[in-house]
Amino acid sequence: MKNFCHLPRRIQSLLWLSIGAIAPGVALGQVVTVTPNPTSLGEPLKLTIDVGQSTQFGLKPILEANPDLDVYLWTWQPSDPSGGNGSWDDSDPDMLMTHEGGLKYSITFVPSEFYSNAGQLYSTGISCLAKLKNGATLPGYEDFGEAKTEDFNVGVLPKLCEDRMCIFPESRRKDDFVSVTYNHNLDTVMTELANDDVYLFLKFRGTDGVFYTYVEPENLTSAPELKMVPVQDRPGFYRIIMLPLDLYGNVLPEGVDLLSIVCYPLTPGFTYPSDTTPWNGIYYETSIPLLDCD
Amino acid sequence: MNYMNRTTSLLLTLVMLGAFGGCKPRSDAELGTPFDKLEGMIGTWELASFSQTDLQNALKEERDLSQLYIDGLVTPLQIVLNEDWTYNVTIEKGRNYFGESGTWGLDDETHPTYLFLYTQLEGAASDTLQYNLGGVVRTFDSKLDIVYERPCDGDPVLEYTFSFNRQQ
Repeated sequence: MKNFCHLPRRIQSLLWLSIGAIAPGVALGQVVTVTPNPTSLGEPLKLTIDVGQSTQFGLKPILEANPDLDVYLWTWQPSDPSGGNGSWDDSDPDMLMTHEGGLKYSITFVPSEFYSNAGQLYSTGISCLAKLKNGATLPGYEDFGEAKTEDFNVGVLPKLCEDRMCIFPESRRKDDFVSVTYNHNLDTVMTELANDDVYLFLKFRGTDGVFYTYVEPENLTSAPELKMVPVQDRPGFYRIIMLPLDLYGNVLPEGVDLLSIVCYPLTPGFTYPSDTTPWNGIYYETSIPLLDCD
Repeated sequence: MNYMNRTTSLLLTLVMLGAFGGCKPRSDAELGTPFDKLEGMIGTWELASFSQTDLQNALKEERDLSQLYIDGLVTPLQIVLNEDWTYNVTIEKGRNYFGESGTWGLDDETHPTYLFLYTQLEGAASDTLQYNLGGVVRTFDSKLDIVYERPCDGDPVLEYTFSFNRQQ
């Protein structure tokens, strides 16, 4: 083996190049794909299984001979489907996949609705297989085993926040830096910005349960520390980075500590229309809870 | 590509990789004296960059927040680690996560992983702060990375990475 080390460098380089040419052919095509990927829990995700690349059990040879048979998804990770998979010999109708041509089958769903608990989607990915409605061995195909594919797992990448208001990091203490990003492009209420100026209105919720306003809306322009700055190379995005500890000290009474922050973007002179369903939370407000640990 | 072709290609690739695995230059030199890890830490360190990593985010998103400490106008955060185990911090911009002064130490003087700062307030011991060292710093190294983890009840939440340049 070590003979390679004594070859001239140019020959070694050529051999490396040949490895580079061979390696891609070694990689198997994706049997299961999800699109879009990255994706969010609340948007439709299309999962496609290429049964033609299945190497175990009976589904592939069965479909090659019987292309009109229906194919169903069977999935167990990140959790069971909300409506269940059905039983092995009688899949739930909601798990029916769409024939995309060839031996490719797809199903489109919203993860947060489709799974009973999609919380682990990004850490576990999706574990699934494709099967006939009755997954038992099909007469005439006993040699291949059950009418299913092998188990598959496909990773799902999370989409970064694309909401009107995004908070970074996801959890924080009052003495951590907090970035608040406002996407004006998604704002359907405050559609015009006066002189492109956006401020972050802040209310602090104290341990006494009372909300304390940092600066009244009409005085926001006198608080430059609350001005949101345009995000470079992202038109319509504005951001502020704040340290809650530096802000609430002069607002909360002595003996009252900070529990959480409520905020919303505001351009000078603008007033949000009243919320007709405030019991669901004021529609234009964003809550920033704070961790309570040393 | 059929199954046999894939198998052949895979085997060929593994053989080639294995064949080159042994291509390291042979060294007959003897090991020198280990670097003094303590001596490498001693000096004046000035902040060159600062970032925040969200450990609860599935992507472990990291953001460069250097502008919170470095504005090109004032001298950025400096930490002086002295030979007598004392340290002091000068800061004009940004939050001080290191205390003002006190004493410093390493968890292991031979193979250090953590930097400890024992802060003092009005001459009395105040707090013990622990930071991950990004790597061992030798006397001729000009960079020092300090990672300040911020767990909550044992769970990782976020961390700050301070990258310093040696000034002296």
